[in-house]
Amino acid sequence: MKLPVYAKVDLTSKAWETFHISEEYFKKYIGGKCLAARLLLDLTEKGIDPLSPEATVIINTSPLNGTASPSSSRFNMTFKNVLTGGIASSNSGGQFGVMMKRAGFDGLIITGKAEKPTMLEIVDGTVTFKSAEDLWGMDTEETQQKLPKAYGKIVIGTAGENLVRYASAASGERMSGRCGTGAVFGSKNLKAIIAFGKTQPEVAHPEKFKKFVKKWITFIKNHPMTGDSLPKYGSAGIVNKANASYALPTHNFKYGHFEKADATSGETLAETRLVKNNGCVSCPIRCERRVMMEGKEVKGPEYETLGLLGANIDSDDLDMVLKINYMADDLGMDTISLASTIAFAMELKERGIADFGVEFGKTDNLPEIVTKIAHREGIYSDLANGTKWLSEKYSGAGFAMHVKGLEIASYEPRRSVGMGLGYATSNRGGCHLNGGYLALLESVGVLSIDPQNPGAKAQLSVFMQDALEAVSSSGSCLFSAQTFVPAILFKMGPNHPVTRFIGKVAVHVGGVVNLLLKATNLICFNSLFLLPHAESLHLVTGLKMKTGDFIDLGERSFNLERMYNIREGLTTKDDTLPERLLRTRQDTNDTSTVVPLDKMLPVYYKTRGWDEKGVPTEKKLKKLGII
Amino acid sequence: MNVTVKYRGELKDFTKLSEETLSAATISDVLNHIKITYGKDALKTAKRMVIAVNGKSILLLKNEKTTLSDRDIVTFLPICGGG
Repeated sequence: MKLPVYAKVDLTSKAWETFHISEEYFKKYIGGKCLAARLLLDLTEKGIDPLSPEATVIINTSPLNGTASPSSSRFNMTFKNVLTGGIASSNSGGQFGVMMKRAGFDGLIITGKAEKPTMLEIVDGTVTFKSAEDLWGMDTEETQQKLPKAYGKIVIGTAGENLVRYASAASGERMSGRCGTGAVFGSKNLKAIIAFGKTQPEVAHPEKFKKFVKKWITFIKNHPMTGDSLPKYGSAGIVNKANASYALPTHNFKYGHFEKADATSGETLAETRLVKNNGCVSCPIRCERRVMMEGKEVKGPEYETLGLLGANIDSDDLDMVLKINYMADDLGMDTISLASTIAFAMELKERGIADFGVEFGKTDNLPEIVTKIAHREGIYSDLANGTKWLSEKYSGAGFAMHVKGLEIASYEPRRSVGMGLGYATSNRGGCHLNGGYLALLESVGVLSIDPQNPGAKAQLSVFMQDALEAVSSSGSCLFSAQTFVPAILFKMGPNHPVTRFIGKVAVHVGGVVNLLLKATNLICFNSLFLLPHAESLHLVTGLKMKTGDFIDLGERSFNLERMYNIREGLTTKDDTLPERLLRTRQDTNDTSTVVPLDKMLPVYYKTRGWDEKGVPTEKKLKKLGII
Repeated sequence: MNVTVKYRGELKDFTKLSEETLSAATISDVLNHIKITYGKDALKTAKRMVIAVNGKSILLLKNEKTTLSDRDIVTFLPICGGG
């Protein structure tokens, strides 16, 4: 068994050394965000500033990266979250992860601060420190154009250099967007990392793996979600469905429905701007939209960007969404946090609290404002600090749409209360994916598990959080897991009596899900219909990995991240939502249109095996092998 | 009731129209129109889509029994995913 090899890099002293992952850690934590959370807990001291030289960023891969396993090009970055002070994990497509592995390293552990702008070059098992002074000041597209074409790259733009707290890092056109990755790079004077190599990853059972991959790809291509709707519309296709379910954040999450939402929908994008679709390395889904923006072919926006730069700022200006999406990627900023911060500033203006020149429905000055934010120019430096910071300076905490400091994604949880619980408990803050993404099963997918009923939402959230955590830790894209929604439901549709019946009874399955979570050893098989990633991991590593083990891996990862947050001072008080979502009805005539978090959170803690303060019990941590 | 029906996604492959105006009192009437005019396969496709009245899913209304008013807009939308 080949164990992962990392490079431990100190930017201050310009030194690096090989760092070996033990067999125990590999078997227990596998790779990606799970292993990285363990390492971050082990290797860093409590209470450090996320933008200080002492801060550590772990960039790592998983056993599936670089193999033919479908949708397996995602690499992970774990670090202290710039916006929340808790843990951050941010994963991204692009070439970098695969190339770093081919160059001889499964991961990098980076600390320190370079004296001058620096680039790391990873080739043939060696790390070289290079000057990046000539690249400093360039944005992500130009920076990458200056670097060797065949290399995998991670770079930052102006926003990262200026420590915008939600700055991102780019790998090709793919972004490691959330939690301030780019700011961490910028604080270390780390402009870029490039990697090149030709070493192929080892596969324990190559023939069986080859056959399995073929079967899995066929399964993905035949599933209505991954074989039809995602290639046709990408995630952008969610806009109209979310709007029809009143789950599309509108006017800074004041409402859940926008009359003009169709103008920024996936269907309109496909009909009027789409050039073609595209995909990441090894991905058969090909969800990326290639669109025309001011005569240039660029990467199209995802659902989150369309929702938060459309309905949430009362805009039907699709061309402006495309432009800001492109600008944000080029300057290196997370579109979710950027758009949500702008929406908050619009509400500050509407309430007469502060004026940053932004107004709901007005988009013509946004390109100028976004540029000023990236450069931290004048008052716009305030907007570069994110929603929570702004609300602390100017007031407005009740309508500052973040959790723990990270801006909430584009799902209105008052019409998807399980998603509300997910946001509140997500380890990295207001993230739908780390939160378990129940919105897909409640309001924006084919199934509608009674969106305003808290029944079973705690147990389903735990299950989904653990499952998605495991998929991420395997190095796979979460979209590859969406085949677990049975294809038959798509054939029947959301209005079919059977689909509606499942939606009604599912709120009563909490006990069953709880039992399943407690007895994952009973899921001692692998199936394409559940989480095929488990079988793929088994065939690549040779380790025993049944679906139950895979869910356990996710649970281990989620608990590790929770332990990091607790160490850094986050408490149950941080497992909450903005007042607007908890107290103000979305529909004034419907008492159920708030998030009943107080009903769900205690059940969630109990299901997780945590105490009433949300702290994992010793028994739970021992069971997971964390202590 | 004269309502406007908008066809998106794969349903447009059957109707060859983006929208049309027709007389219908309920969503069932609209589905019946699709069956008679465009055939059983079109109906099957229509039934598995998101159906919205003035932008609101019929799941939040009365499903196929949802009643329609003059100048209502009925939209058929594809089911998508992602996140």
